[in-house]
Amino acid sequence: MRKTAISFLVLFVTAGAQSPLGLHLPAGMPVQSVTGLSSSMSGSGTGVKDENMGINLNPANMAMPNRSAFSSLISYDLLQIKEKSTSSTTGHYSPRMLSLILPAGSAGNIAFSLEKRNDAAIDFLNKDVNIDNENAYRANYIGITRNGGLTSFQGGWGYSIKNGPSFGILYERLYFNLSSSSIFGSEISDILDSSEYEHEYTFSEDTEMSYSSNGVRMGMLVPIGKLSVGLSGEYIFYTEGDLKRTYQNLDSTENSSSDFYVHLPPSLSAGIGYRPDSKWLLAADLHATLWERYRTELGLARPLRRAYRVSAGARFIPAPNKLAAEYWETVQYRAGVRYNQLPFDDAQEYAISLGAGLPIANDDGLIDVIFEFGKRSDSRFPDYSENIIRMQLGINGGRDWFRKNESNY
Amino acid sequence: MIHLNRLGFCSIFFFSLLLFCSQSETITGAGSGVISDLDSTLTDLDGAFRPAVLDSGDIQKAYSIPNDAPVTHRADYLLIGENGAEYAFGHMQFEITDSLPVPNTSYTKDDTLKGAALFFETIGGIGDSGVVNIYSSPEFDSLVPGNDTDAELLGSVKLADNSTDSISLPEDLQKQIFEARTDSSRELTFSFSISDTPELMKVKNPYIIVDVKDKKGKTVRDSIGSTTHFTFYEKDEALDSLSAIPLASYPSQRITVFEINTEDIFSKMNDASGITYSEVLNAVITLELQEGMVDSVLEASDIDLQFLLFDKELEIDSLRKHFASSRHHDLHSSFTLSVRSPVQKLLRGAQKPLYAYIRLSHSKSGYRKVVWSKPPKFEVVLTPTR
Repeated sequence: MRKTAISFLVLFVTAGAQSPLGLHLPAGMPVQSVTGLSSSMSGSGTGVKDENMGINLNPANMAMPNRSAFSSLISYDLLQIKEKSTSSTTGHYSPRMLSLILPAGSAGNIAFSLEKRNDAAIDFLNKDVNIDNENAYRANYIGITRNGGLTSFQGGWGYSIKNGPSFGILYERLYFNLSSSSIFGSEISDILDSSEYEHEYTFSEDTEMSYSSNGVRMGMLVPIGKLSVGLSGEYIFYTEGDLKRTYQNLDSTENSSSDFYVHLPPSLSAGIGYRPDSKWLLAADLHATLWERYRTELGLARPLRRAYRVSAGARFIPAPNKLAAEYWETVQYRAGVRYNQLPFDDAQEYAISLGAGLPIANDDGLIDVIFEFGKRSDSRFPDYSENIIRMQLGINGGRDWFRKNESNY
Repeated sequence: MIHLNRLGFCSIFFFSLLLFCSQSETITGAGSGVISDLDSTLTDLDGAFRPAVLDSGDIQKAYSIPNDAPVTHRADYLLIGENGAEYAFGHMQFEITDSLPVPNTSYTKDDTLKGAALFFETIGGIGDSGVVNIYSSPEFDSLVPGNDTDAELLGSVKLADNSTDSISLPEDLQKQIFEARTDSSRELTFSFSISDTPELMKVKNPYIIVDVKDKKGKTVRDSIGSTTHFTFYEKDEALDSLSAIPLASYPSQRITVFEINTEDIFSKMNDASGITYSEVLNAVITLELQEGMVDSVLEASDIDLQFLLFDKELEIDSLRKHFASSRHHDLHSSFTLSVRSPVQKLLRGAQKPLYAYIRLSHSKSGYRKVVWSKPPKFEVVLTPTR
């Protein structure tokens, strides 16, 4: 029952990546699941200590004495796929992350998080007509429907030395669920001595794959004057999964099930943050996922490589401390740019992002509105590219835990 | 206890609502190159399905095999006489018991027997007319078809298309029939054989009419029906010529055989890239009758056919067992049969010729003999092995 409930939750959380390139990756397309502040700076923030950063980039960010913070983000992605002269546009929306930081008194802080890591979802249908004349008709079609991906549930502890460095450590439980249904068919008709005969052949393959793995994330943040430096890393342990397949031909069905091992890759991040004054925040990140250390006995569609991500971003608040500021002067204006490699050779993605953090009046809340424009390409397919327009909405809340206030938190 | 403020509560509610609203849309058209690259054995839209099409030129032999014995049919008609290389003897048997239906006006042993005759009514024939001889015969249970050398000739009748003729039964037999019909404690069984008609005739079940004069001088007519068998033979001297053509005959149970060269199918299973196309998605064979080979006069319209496919030549005994459990198909002048399952089984082994066996079966109304054309199309669609 518990497993069913988790699978159900994971399937909904991971609905809708859609990129055909994700089919080449063992866990689907990597997804950037960060808070609105980080997302609007193109994923930068490993070196920034801010309650709106959550714990997704650096677990050490949870160490905020006597503070609580809450962040969530949903995303609507519009993906335009181009291949030669054809194009297809698809849209989907799904929640990305949920993060909650709570104070634990003198012991520091504890935090919980749910985030999507990789998204394997796709719904693809194509039909090619090879021959279509008065004597014969030949058409092949292919349909693939996939749901699932990799989702991480995290919980951990963080501690900050007064005016000094912060540390954080998280235990994470990762769940991978994939439900895939593929159908390959052919329609053939011929005229045989004035009598037409038609056949339709189909072959379908249904796959159910799942595994769960344990992992640990650690991070530290060190303030150096107006500068702050952050490091974080993740290690995921070896695990075993279940694979069930059903092949179906015209009138025969074959079922198989097997176990397999999988070892998800570790990752490392380094970032710097710089606050020249209270108006500006500048951040830059370097992230590496060591996909070359990914191991599985299921085989790979393509060789995997280490994938780097480089990003930089800025936040500007016109009047952060003005008591009688106009509303627009309290809005956080943000922008960022990023470049990241996909885990196989010569495939990359780059994007720019623009966003705003809209304060909620008389509250410590913030609503994030983010727009990202990007392009994904793979030189293995020179006639293929993906254009991405991503619209995201984030909600953040923060509160002094022991502050005397008429409202509760 | 954690108390969430309005913002926190609304956030979680909003987030939870979206969990159940996640959705995606279908990609069509673009992206097939990326999909195909994933697993070309399945996703190569041009190469996923490989048809191997044979035609009549791939039929190495076309012939037929006879049944191992004359075939006796039990039906509500008789086939008798010769048709080229085939001939048939008919047998009829009468059983008088207390369960036999009585005439509308019954008669008793005190009434007077006027006579009893055996009637024949033709319902089709190849020739215009013919004279057939009626013999006494052992009962069916002890009958050895064609070997009844002690048969007593009762007489002859002249048969023509859609005509009726009769012969009078011997007096002592008439008397026995009369006694059996008027005494329920008595039972009587007797048989006749019929042969010697020059050309094949189809005869309705023969029947006996008994004429009785009752005490008032009124004639009472009693009709007694028969059960019939006919045995179909192929002449020994014609066996070779019949076996040389792809003939299928319902009455003689001759079976058509096609030997199919499968070299092209096996060559399509492998290609230069190393992919093995050994999964049969579908396989069909087209069968056609040769024009002008149907005996239309006696043609049965309710004939079925049965079809078998093996990778070896089978003896008639073995074929009969396989046919006993095989599917029946309606006979048409041209039609296509699915043979996916046997072809899939055959392709698991080494390359061998295939043997297609066709038998006509299950007719209630008569005679059918056909010659098949070599199958004009034998199409197998292969896909790569997973």
